[in-house]
Amino acid sequence: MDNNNQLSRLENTRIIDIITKIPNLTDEDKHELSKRIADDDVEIRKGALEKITNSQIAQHDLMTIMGELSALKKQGMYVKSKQTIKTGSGSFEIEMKGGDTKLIIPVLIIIGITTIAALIIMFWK
Amino acid sequence: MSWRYKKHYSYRRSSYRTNFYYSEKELDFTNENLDYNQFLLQEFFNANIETKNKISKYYIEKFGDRSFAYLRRTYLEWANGNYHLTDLMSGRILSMMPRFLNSEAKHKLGIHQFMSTIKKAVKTFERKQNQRYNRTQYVSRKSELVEIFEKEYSEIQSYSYDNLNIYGHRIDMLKDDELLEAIEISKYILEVKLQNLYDQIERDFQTFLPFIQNLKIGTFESLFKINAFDIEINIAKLDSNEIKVPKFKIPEIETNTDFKKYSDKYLAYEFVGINRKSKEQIARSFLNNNDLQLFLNHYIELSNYDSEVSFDSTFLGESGELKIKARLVPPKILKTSLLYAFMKLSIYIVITISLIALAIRNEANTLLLIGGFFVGIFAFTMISEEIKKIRTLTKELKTYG
Repeated sequence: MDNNNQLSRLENTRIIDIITKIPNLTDEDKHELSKRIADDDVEIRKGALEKITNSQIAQHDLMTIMGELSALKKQGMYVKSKQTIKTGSGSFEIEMKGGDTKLIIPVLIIIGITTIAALIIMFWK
Repeated sequence: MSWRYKKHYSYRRSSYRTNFYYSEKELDFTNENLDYNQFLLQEFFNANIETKNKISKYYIEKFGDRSFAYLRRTYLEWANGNYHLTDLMSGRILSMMPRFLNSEAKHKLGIHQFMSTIKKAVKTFERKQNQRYNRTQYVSRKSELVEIFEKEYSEIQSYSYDNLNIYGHRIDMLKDDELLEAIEISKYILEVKLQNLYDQIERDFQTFLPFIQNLKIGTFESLFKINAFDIEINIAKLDSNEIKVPKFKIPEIETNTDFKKYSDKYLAYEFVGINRKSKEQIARSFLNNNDLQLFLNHYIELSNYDSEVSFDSTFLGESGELKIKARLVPPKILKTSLLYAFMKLSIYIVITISLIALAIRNEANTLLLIGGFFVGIFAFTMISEEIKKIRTLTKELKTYG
């Protein structure tokens, strides 16, 4: 993730350029406006850095979850999990259920056939 | 100490303070409303000798010598804020002052009216814009979307002073061409704001649309909500992979009035405000590309698992929010569920047929009629539900398989 590149979108060069070109502004006005831009910038960058931290935490959390899930998958276990992760620009909610199905199908077939056979015999008599 | 002094003692301010209570103040750009009464009092206490002479003459004619003597005696005490100006006195001053305003004061009022007209015009338009979009519109066609964007621009174009509904302004210092110019400046601000919003929308589409194309059709639903227009766009069903938001040419405004200096200053402050808002939007959304990639990586990885996976995610854009709900079901699970549903259906059918056969064999016709009615409804519901389930699962198997 190239955070520096993303942060460059917050540069103020363009607005400062526009303000410099506005006629009838005194030096005092220009100074006051530049100060205001700088103050806003500090506040916005603070929020942006917070988001970068959130995003990094989210990546780490997701990696941990995926690691745990693949370990359970290898063991052939039934898994049911729900995770909510706050990212830099929103949130993820991942819900998982399922696991090894190797045994389920034969068991289902045997139970089904036995039940039907039992019912037919019972009602036939 | 006179009786008057005693009477107003409670209103007296600390005697060591020698401030001039009604001293002239600079025009406040940030304040939309002017305290007109305070302004008139300020003009009264700051009047030059010539104006003071005119005021004295008028005051004597209107309220008499005795009243004027009182005014002259207490003038400095009021001016310094040592005495409270009574309602009667302030009422008299306020009623007569408008006719004694000099050209400088009128100019100041003109500046205020000019600036407040710009601010009111922008505010009124934005309020009406909110009212226009107070109901959520669901869009899945590109043409509908572009139509909304173009309509909004033409709304600004047709905006005029009449839309402001300002009847009989208390301070009427502006000529028609000056009012027109104030409206043109407000339209310019609105156009800049709208173009800024459209640029944000376009950037969001450029980020979100290519990402959506990576998801498997039928496995997800996605809604992009543009907050400014309260539009919800079904991106999964959108009839285009590219959205071009209109770009209009904003003409530079030429101001020729006496207020140019002030309007330029105001514009500069507006630009700083727009810049701040747009940077805030960038800051809240600037990681969405990374997060979308993160989502996609996990979506691909989890699609190889033997488990059913559901995603519910939100991504903030510059102009709105993208919601994605995705569901991945491995074909193995679907096949098992399908088999299970078939088994259940077979059991229900066998039980039903057997019960009917049993009743016919024992010639229990009454039981068959009454029991068949109630048990039949139950059996019919169970069987039809299973058939429905099988149909859904077959459909899902086609999608996910």
